[in-house]
This record gives sequence, C-alpha cells and structure tokens, in this order.
Amino acid sequence: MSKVLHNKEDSLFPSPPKLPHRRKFIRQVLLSGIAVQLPFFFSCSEERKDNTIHRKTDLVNTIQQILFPDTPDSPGIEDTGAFAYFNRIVRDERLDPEEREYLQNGLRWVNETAQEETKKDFVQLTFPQQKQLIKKISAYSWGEAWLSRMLTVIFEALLLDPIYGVNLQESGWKWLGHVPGSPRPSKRNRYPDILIRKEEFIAVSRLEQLSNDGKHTKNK
Amino acid sequence: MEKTLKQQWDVCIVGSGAGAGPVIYELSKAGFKVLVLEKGPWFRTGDFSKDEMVAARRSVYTPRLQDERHVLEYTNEEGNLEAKSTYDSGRDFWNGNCVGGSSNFMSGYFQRLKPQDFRLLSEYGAIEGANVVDWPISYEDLEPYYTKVEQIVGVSGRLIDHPFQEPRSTDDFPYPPLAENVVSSWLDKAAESLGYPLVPLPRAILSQPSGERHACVYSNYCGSYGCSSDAKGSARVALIHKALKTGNCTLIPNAKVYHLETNGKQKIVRAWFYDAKGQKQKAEAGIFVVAAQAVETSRLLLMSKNPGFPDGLANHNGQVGKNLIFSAGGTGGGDFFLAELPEKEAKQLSVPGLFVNRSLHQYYEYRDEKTGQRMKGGTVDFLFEHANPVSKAMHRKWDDEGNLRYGAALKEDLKNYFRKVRKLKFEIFNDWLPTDGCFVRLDPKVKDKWGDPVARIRIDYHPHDLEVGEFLAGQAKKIMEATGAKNIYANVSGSPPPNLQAGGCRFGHDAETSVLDPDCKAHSVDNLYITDGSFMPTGGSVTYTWTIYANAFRVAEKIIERLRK
Repeated sequence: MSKVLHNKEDSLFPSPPKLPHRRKFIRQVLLSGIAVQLPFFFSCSEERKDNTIHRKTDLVNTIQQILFPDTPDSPGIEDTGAFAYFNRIVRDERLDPEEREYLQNGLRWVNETAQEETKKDFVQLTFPQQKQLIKKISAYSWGEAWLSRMLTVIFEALLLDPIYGVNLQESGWKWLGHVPGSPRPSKRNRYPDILIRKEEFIAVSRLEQLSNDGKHTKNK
Repeated sequence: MEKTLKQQWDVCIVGSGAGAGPVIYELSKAGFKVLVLEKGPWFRTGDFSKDEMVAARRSVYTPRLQDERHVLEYTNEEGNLEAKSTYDSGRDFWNGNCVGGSSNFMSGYFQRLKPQDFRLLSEYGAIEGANVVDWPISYEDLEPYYTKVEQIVGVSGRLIDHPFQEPRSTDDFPYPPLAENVVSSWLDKAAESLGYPLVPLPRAILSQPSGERHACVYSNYCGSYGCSSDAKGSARVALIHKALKTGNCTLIPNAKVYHLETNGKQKIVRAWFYDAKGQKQKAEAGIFVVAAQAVETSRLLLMSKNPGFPDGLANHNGQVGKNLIFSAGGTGGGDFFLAELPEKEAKQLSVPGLFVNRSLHQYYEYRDEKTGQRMKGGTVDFLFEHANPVSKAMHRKWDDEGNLRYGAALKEDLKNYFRKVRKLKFEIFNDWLPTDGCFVRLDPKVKDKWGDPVARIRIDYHPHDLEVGEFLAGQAKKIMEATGAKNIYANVSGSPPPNLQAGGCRFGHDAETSVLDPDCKAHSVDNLYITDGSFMPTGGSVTYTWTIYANAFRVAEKIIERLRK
C-alpha cells in the first residue's frame, strides 16, 4: 500500500493504520446482477464513453463536495484542486495499481448502492438524496474505508504545496494558519521529479567504468 | 551478464547509514581503500525541501512496498500466529534507503546509554521469558567514542546535574543548546513542582556552523525530512562527505547486495550485488562490513548460504536474526488551548520551529511500589506534534466515537484544531526485552523485485515492557498536568517502532550464544564485521543512533589496527 493512503508519522512510534486491510472492504454486491447490467465506467461505445466521463466527473465532484462542502470563510473543494488531483493520483503509475483501482472501484460501488437503493444512478439523484446516500454508505465498513481514502485525497489537495496544482493560492494553508517550511519544493526536487536522478546515471557510468577498464577514479 | 569490479578494496561496506558512516570515515582517513555499496539512491542536500509529499506521502526515501516489503508475523487477539506483508497491511517497515540511510531523516534525539545498560542482567537480575545478558564491553569502553561522536558528528546540548547523568570525559557538549520554545520553561517548572529536574535533550543538530555545515535554521520540519542546512548530523553529511574527499572512498548507490560469498572456509571473498540496471556485479575486498540496519543485516546473512554455512553466513549457532529488539514504550500528549492562555504566552507558544528538547530521566531506575523491587525504568522525551499539515488533518478524520468525520463538521474541527490548539506530545522509551519470540528469518514464499526472499519478522514483546511503559506514562502525565495541558492521554503498547530496531546479531564472549565477538567481528567468519545496531544484546531506554555511531567508531579502530598489522 502506498503512502498516499497512510501517512508515515513523524513520531518515533508510528501508530498502526486506522483501517485494517483494504481487501476486507471489497463491497458485498447484494444484487450482483446490477453490476453487469450497468457498465457504469466500462462502456465501449464512444457515445457511452463521453457520457461515462461526464458522469464520472459529476460523481467525483459531487462526492468531494459532500465530504468537503463550501462553508463561509473557508476554501471550497474547487480551491483545493482536489478533482484534478484525484485524476492524477489514479493515473500515477508509480503508485500501487491496486490502490488506484480501489479508489476507482469505490466510485462504482457508490453507484451500485444508489441503484440498489433508488433504482437510479447516483448522479441522477437530487443533492439532498446524494448526501443521504453518502451518509448511509459511511456507516458500512467498505463505505467508511473508501470515503476515508477520498478524504485523504482531499487533505492532500488542501494542504500540500501548490507546486502540485493543489492548495490553490495557498488557500488551505491560509485558512488553517499553516506556515510552510523552507525551502519549498522546486520543479527539480518535487515528486516525482526527484526520483528521476541525474546523479544516479553518473553513478552508473562510473560503475561501468570500474567494471570495464579497471581504472580507479578517485572521488573529488 | 555478470561483471566484476576490478579494483580490489581493503574494505567493502554494505550500507551507508549511522552504522557504516564512522567506518567509512575512519578507514578512508586512515588511507585504506574503501568501497561502499548502498542499496538506495544518492540524494544531495539540494534535493531536500520541506515537502510533505516527498517526505511523508510517497515512497521517495524508501522503497515502494509493491517492490519490496516485509512480512510481519505476530500473535493475534485470538492467540494465533498471523502473518501479513507490509504491502497488504500498509504498515511500512522501511526507514531511509539512500546514501546516509535513515540518519538523514532522524530527529537527532541523542542520548547516551547509561552504565547500568551495559550490565542489565547483573544490575537487575534475570526476568523469566527474557534473554537478558550483560554486554561484553562497559560504558567506560564506549565513553571515548560517545565523545568522538559529539565532536565529529556534532551534538548540541546543555548539561545539568541530575541523578542519572552518565559519566563524561568532557565538561560539556561542543555545541550550545538549540533555541527553545517557551513551553520548555513550562515543562521545567512543572517538573520542579514535582520535585525533580527535566534534562535538556541533546540533539545531533548543529546550533553553530562547523566547516561546510550550517547551523540549524529552525525550519519547523526536522524528523522525517532531509536537512537543507546540513545542520543535522547524518552519516552522509557529517562523515561520508569527508571520507569522499580523501580520495580513498568509492561509493556506489543503487547497489543492492544480495550475497556474500566465502572461499569455502571462513573468509568472505566477494559481495554480489545488483546495480542500478539490475545487472549482477561482484566486488572483492579483504574485509567486509555489513551495516544495513538490523533487520536487513540479518536478512543478508541468512541469504548468504555458503559451504560451511548452510543456514546462512555467521549462523553457525542459529543465532543470526534472533533476539531482535525495538524500543518499548509508547506515546502520549496533551493540548494547550491558545484562547485560555494570556495573549503573550499564546503567541510565544505558537512560534513555529523552536524546539522543546526536554527529557525525563528521573525514573531511569525506580522501585516497584508493590514489591519494593529495584526496576530498570526509562526516559520520556517531550516534543511538539509534527508540523506536517496533512498528517495533522488525518488525525481529525475520526470523531470521539470513532465515526468518520466529514462535511461541515470536519471543516469546523480542522479550523479549530489548527488555529486554536497546540499539541505537546511525549514519547516513552524503555527496554524492549529480548525474547525467543522476536526474531528475523527469511520468508519462505514472498520475494522482492529481484526475486530474493524478504525478511519475515516475528514480533513479540515481554509483558514487563508494558508494565514499565505504563509506569513511565503515569509520570509523564503528571508533568503534563502540571503544565496545564488538557486532554492528556498516553498509549503504551507492544507495537514496535520500525525506526528503532536493533539486535539480531548480538555480540558476546561466547561463540555458542552470540554471533559477534566483543569487537563486532563474526565469531565464525574471519573478515566480517557488523556495525549497525544488530550487535546490541539489550537496547537501553533511549534512541539508538548515538550508541550505533559510537560503537561503529570503536569497531573502526579495531579494523584499522588489524589492517595495519
């Protein structure tokens, strides 16, 4: 599991993750046929594909809005950049594929639950109905675990450095009175750029030199 | 295709953290040719920033768990053994995998062991179910090297008189104490009201510049972060940089050693490693030093099966990986509500970046109230909650009933917590007694990305650990109460902190019951030394890093003596 979902504590005594193993929370599909009948995100035709993208956008947006609603004198979800950030996370190939799949599967499970409860897609419900459904889902083990993951994504968008296209105009930091540390990350040493290391290639070249010609070049 | 590094080195060192740094430094300075094989990449100081994404949210300084994991084996609530990989549990057991190792990311709480820690069995007697032994060396043997670390790595602090002050060969620390938050004076007064002093906590952080290293800039982000001013005494900055300048040290990052090959007798002839491209390479040297951190050091030895060592290198007596220890104890804390304080004090308390740096030593030893028995206690360090904002927010996800908090209620809670509260925490350190139930072996099934078996760690603790931890937690709570903090809590558990690991290759006089001799040379291998925390038969009640540094300086001298013969 990647750290996107479990913070590495600074404490010398990190607490175990709040949540048990994620596979315990794979949703029990009560009406298993529904998932087959409603290929919510997996339709093949272009028309369906466009429609699906819109519905997925609406679904993510709406869930994020419910989890982190607009309130007076505070950044709203749009100020965090959380929607675009969510999409970047699920496309980030450096992250655990299972984890990224889990985030996306949750969207489908929410919609399946909407179908089971109301015979409608989630995005077809009124906003109060959507809020009611999320409240209900949060009481399920799988729902609580998945919504918690979605909150983690929002927290990262709210409070990480704006260099990641989040925390727009430092709105999250300003709201909570947070003072960032210095130096701030740059394009050179932010994630994932820091992992693409020029020095490593120099080191490899040097290793090849040692292997091939046997010369021992002293470090300067 | 296999390649051989054609250079013949005097010493090949596996790892580059706190256990390796002093050996790299001393041998390079002494003119010996040193090869360092470091599994991780080589981050430079300029690569470090105060970016929570890199330091705490993604696998940048540590391997990705889908590539490399551990398997943790423990007794569940039903009393059955249960094994789960860290990939599945999300419980990351890696620390820093890069040049300088986890010393880059330590908080640098530096405290010496005390004389009685070297003779735990003699001082306090046997404890049933625990493999307590005396060390084969004394505090006096290690003292000069503690002092050396103060001077070369750099330790700042201030001495006061207190009953458990360990003997010193110098009058004070070479660097004055770091600047402190007002809360330190509140803690001092609180302890004084209880009748004893708190000890100023030394830090491996420069308060004044030294050579090319700058003084601390009080960035408010220390633990878990690489230091941008080089004030923190990482092995990379304090030791390896200087070693490289001698021209005698070759450091190869992204070199994962997977096998130490012997000549069929009792001598290692080469180290096999994967390079950055995944190619197999081998390096030859006269002496080999392993310092890959306790769990991985035992793993490498167990993987290195050779003629004469069918169960792993130096494992002639089945002791490699055994008696793994962590630091026992737990955490606690309390809240200061800014609105309840006078305006001036609230402002002073809110100043970011300044340190707390206080430690409770008064109960390093105590008498059990019920039995009157003399007990080994421990220490308690006080510190602020880390400034990481995402981490702070994560703790607000759940309400007092354990339900997920979201929506307007979550936002209100976040605002109140960030703006109106400053949390003071404490961390309890007491001995994690070595037992037969805590050890490392190779997992029979799970492999890493290179196809090598991962470490399977059996975790068990002695009930005595919790008893002592609870006692110390009670004392810490009294101090917190006396400061006026609210919502005071403490959690003592047998959950091991992965960044405080030691043991697995304990040293001792007896070749039948220990892996290493008193010089940390393997009893059964002529040219193998182990210089990370693996050697420790018991761990004391403070963080290990200073002791690991000091012992590595001590062993470096032994290796130099041998090479000069």
